[in-house]
Amino acid sequence: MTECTIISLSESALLISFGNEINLQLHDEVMKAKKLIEEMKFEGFIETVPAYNSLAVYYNPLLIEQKEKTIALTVEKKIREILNGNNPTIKQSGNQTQMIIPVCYDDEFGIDLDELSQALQLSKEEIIQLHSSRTYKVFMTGFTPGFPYMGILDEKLITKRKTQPRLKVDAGAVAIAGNQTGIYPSATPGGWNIIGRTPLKLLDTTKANPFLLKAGDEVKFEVITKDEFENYAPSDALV
Amino acid sequence: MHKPIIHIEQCGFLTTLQDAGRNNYLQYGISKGGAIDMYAAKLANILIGNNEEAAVLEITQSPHRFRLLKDSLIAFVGGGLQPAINNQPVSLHQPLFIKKDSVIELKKQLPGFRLYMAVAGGFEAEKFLNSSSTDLLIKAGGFEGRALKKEDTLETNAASTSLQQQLAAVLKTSTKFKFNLTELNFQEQTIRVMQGVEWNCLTTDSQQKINTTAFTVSPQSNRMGYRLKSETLLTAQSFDIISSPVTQGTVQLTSSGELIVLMADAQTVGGYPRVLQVIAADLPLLAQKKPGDLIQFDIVSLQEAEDAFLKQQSALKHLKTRLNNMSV
Repeated sequence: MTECTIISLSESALLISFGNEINLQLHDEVMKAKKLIEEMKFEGFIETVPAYNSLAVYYNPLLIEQKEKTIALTVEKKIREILNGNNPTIKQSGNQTQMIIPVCYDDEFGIDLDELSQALQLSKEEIIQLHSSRTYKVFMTGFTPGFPYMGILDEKLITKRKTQPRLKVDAGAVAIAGNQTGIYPSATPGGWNIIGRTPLKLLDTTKANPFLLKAGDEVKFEVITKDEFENYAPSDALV
Repeated sequence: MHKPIIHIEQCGFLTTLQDAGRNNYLQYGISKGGAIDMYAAKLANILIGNNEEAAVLEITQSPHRFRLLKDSLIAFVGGGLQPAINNQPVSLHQPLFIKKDSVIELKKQLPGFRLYMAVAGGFEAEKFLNSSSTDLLIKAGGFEGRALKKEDTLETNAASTSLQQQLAAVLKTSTKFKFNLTELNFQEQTIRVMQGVEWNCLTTDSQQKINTTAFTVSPQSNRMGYRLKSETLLTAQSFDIISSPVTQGTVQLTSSGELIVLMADAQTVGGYPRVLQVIAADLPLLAQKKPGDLIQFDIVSLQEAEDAFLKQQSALKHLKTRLNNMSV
């Protein structure tokens, strides 16, 4: 196991941190730790939340048999035992699902493509080609329910957020900011640069599993025409 | 066996069904949610022999009027509003037996901001991801995923337990219970905090100011977060944080120097420095603060925070045991 620091986020959560940058290797460590802790569940364990280079572990302090100076220290010790233990079965972060996400990059949906084309000194076609030719990793979902933070973008696509965030971004909007790409699951305010739209629902509260994506998944975008977008199960495409 | 229990004749601006919150979906960006003053919600349930996680009504300070549709064992806990039944004020923090067709009025203001109403068996509510809490952001759970309004009718669950039948029998002869609960003083301004994950992001000067600065709860506060205003702005040495998990009670420092305390409907990850963490035992008190109220922080250790939380929870457990052992 790579070096990590563990500190309290609250009386019922510890935060495990692995280094201080965004890269695929660190994220793989996060996902490995997540899998280990979930499989070795300790008494009082509730859930984990993965992010780029950190993992929160939630527990019920009332169910922890305190053996150290604090409950948090008791849990930290358990977690270190789990992370340092020999668990030959877990080599991979596992559970990687490959998802193909259809995206229409038509001007009607890619409302920031013109501006980006100028700022990045690339044609719109080049932007679309660069964006849709890579496989991305879902680093985490959050800020708003079901929003996947994915990376890492081709260097040529690295860009700032919009200076004025939009008050309302449409559900399904595919966007880029920094070296990340994301998809807005529902109509929310947002400051990322919008380059297209997917007809898929990332969050569907009527389903038993409402989430299309989870941290650790791999995602590839598939270019579709406006015609294909409109004929893509239009009934459930947009909220 | 669902039975209609209250009809809402007048409703305030934010009244929702809430339970102990939603576990296991934080990693998908779904907030934990649940009662923002969890202590009050649990206490209300315990007082009438419910499972402490049963769905309760969370009533934000504003006038309400309910008509009771059946004889009911109920409890009001929290603050903000003085309940009156058929124009007679009734006690908070007590089990009450109320007759069918009674009118419950919540009008007169009390210190605090949120009142909880529990009914025997709990309110019937829609479950979303195993919780009855209303998630207003994605409009799911509780009552059609929304805040209640005039003309809504709420139902209750299940038949009474033997404890609830006993309680009702005693209360019908209008005996009052005395529980000698240590009630929260909602006028208390001190909120205890721990140093947050990025405490060291604060400049030394700002670190020293935490305990002495008066903060005001801003009108832009809701169940997701409380924005705090102060005359002296806090400054960070760096705002360069890679997004990482946040939780209920996390205090973020925004780039404009303002603090935001994440509350019940907290987001799950965030990119602002987590400079403080409100201790779990004081989150209920903060939840009872309203826009314009003043607060002050007092930094305590993790050990003190854990002890305070355990003490609060053991008081609830003690009350539960007393009720269960009650020989009526």
